[in-house]
Order: sequence, then C-alpha cells, then structure tokens
Amino acid sequence: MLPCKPILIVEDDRAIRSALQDFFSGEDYTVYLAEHGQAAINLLALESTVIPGLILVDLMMPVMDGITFLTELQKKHPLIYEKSAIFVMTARTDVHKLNLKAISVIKKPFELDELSRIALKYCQEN
Amino acid sequence: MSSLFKIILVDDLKDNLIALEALVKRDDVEIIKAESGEDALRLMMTQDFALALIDVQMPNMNGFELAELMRGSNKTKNIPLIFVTATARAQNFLFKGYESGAVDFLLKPLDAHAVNCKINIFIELERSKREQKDLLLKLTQTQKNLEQVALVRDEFMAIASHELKTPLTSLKLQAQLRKRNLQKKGVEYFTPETMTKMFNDDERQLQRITHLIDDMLDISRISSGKLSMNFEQFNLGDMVKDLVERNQELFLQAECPIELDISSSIVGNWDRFRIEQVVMNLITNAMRYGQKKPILVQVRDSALGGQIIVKDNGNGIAIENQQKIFLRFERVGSGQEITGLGLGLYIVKKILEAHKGSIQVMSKLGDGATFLVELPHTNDT
Repeated sequence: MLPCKPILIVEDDRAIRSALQDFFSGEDYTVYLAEHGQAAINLLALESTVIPGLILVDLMMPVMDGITFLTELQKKHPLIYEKSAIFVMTARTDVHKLNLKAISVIKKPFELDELSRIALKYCQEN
Repeated sequence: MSSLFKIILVDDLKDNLIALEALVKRDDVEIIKAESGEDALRLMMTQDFALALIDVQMPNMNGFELAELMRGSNKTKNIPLIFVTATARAQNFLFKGYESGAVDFLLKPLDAHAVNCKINIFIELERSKREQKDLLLKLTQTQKNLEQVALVRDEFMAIASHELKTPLTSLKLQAQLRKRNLQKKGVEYFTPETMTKMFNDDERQLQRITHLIDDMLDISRISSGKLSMNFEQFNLGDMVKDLVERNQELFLQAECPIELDISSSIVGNWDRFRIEQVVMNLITNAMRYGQKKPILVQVRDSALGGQIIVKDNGNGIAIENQQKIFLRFERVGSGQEITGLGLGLYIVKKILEAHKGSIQVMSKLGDGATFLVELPHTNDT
C-alpha cells in the first residue's frame, strides 16, 4: 500500500464522526478528528507537520462553523488550504452558493463508496 | 374619518343655495356651499366630494366652465356632476365632459322627489366605491398573511428535512459500514458486545428522529392553537431528579457532568410530560453548548410556585441574540449556528406560557448561560 496522507474530519455530530473514523481507519488511513472549526484550527496548530490529503468539513457546527473555519484555515494555514483537498459536507441542497474557490461539496447522507474513492484519489495517488 | 358623504352645492344666489340645501339634506350627508366656481374649485382641492350640484347660470364662470376645469384636475375629475338648469335647451349639451364621469341634470323649478332620487343614486354609487376599496384592502392583507404563512411553512420544511438528515446520515453510514465489515471480516466480527453497541447506537439515532418529528408536530399544533395540556399533581424536584437519572447514559455521552441541586419539595398541578420536555430541552441545549464543562440544574421554591434553573459554562449567548433564540426556527449567525430545528426554545416558551409561567436567559459572552424557568401554581385541574 502506498504511503497515505492523513484525513482531517471536522464534524460536530458524534455518531457521524465515529462512523467516519471507523470507516477510514478500517481502510488504513490516519484520521484526525475535530468537533468544530475552532478545535480543528487548534489541532492543526499543535500538529504542525501534518498536511492532510483530505479535509471533510461539516457546515453547521457550534462554536465555529464550516465557512468560518475555512476562512480561518486560509489565513492561519495557507499551505494546508492550498494543498489539501477540501470537501464540505452538507445536508443542504442549495450549496452552489458557496463562494470559496477550490472547495468541493459532498451531500449528506453520503455513500461510503464515494468517500472511499475520494480518499483514494487525494490521499494515496501522487 | 367621518363616514358622511360630502356634497358641494354651487350657485351664485345665496337663496338658491339655502333652498337646495333644504332639499338635499340627509343624515348620511354633509353639505358644503360655494357661491362661485372659483370658491368651489378651492374647496374641492382640499376636501373629497362624493357629488357636486352645479348651477349652470353663474356670472364669471358658468357651470359648464367649472365642470371643464374640474375634469382637468386629477383630484376632481371623477366627481359626479349634477347640473341644475332652468332650461332643457340645446345649450345643455355644450358640455363636453360626458366620457369622463357621471353627469346628470336637474330642471328648475326643482322637484323634491326628483332631487332625492338622483342624490340617492349617486350616494349609493359612492358607498359602493368605498366598500370595494375596503374589500380590496382586506383582500390584499389576507393575501399578504397567506404568503407569510406559506413562507414560514416552506422554511420549516427546508429546515426540518435538513435536520433529519443528520441522524439519517449516521444510520446509513453504520448500515454501509456493517455490510463492509461483514464482507471483509465475516460474521465472527459481530460478537454480542459489538451488536449490542450497534443496536444502542441505532436506537439513539431513531430517538433523535422521533424527537425531531415530535417537535415538528408540536409546532404544527402550536400554530393551530391546539397544544394539549394534561395537568396532574407531582413533586417538581422529584420529577427533575427522576428525569436526570433516566437519561444518565445520554448525558454521559455528552461528557458534561450534571450537578443537581434540588432544594424544593414543592408539589404542584402542572403538565408533567410537558415540563419534562422543558427541562430535557434546556439540559440538552446546555450540553450542546456546554463545552464539556459542568452543568448545574437547580429546583427551588419561589413566591409564586417553582423555579427551575439550568446553567452551563459554555461560550454564552450574545445580548443581541438573547431574544432571538426563543423565536421559531431562528438561527443565530456568525459562527454560532444553532443546530436542531431551532424549535426547542420556542416550544419551551409556549409550554410555559400555557402554564402562565415564563423563561428568561441571563448570559454574557464567554461566561456561559443561565436559563430561569418560573412555574407558578395553577388552579386548573
């Protein structure tokens, strides 16, 4: 198996977080978890050598929501913002209004097959 | 605003005006007199007339000339005209303003009956116009109201379906994960311990969905004024203690330790199920925003009845949002998005209102939030 880049999951729902962790760990990825935007920023500050291959971020979270997190990320960790593949997870059906560039959208509820493909593309291939 | 109809009488002879006034006099009419065309025009600029009775034979400006001038101004062009004339000669048809509105004639010497009949017709016309205007206003208002209701309902549906997707996402992920695990690891992977955890997890998500749907039903009942209440005697402190114990596992999951302080032994007549709903709502909110710090739940006696206090040590609520959180699906912006249907506190407020009680929040940013519930004694059975 090729060297893997880690995955960062920013999601406030405990059950979803836990399920995603189980899934990606099962596929041998290193997973970093954060409950909301602020926790994710703090985590990245602590683990300063980590550049995730893939960031999955929920839009609606307490303390710091998805959009604010991405804005902060661009400010505080511009390298990560540029290098990581960023996917916004949302239950909303009108998210084409997102104005952030280079951000993809994945709709809830998602298919594990799709997640698998995304992780493969951004965390394993060169 | 007076509901009298205003009529203007125009004649250069004062005696004629007085005589005409006597003929035209009615309970639903206010009579204004003018002795020249110029005076009449001046009066018509500042008052609204339902009808003008104009003498044709006047010096300086005759009746027809006055009528032509009236037709030339927006304010006066629609006033119905009755020309009062001594002759039925051809000159009467020199008036060119027929297309612009109602025109009629009265022949001198005036016949009281004829005058009354004609006045009647025009008054009824004006009354009709007023009623139409009122109806149109009412219709427009009703339309606006309906549009508002439709908007609220649409937004509600959007938010509800969005919120339901979270537990559904979780259930779907778990189902897919389990399928994969079965394929990869075989049925041995599914030990009794693993399966028990799986079923518990599923139950929790299903509870959430049920709770959301119950909230939706409550909202719908509140909107149609049908929120049901069943009063019974119970001990408030015991109820809260019991509620917290029953939900221990759920609260453990949230990792916010709950401190119970029950100093009341008050027994009251309230809707137990609904008050449990209130307390449960406040505690789950505290956990969501409590940042894993301890939550205090107090039950105290008050002058009016009972008090329930739920205090968390999370980020707190900004002053400008403190009233908003009690509104229906109000979402607080700028990075402090409230998840859930945003209905919880609205329903809580409505339940307490139905008990003639109240809820207040005290909070400072960075210093947590304290919710204070006042539950007065009721005399209802």
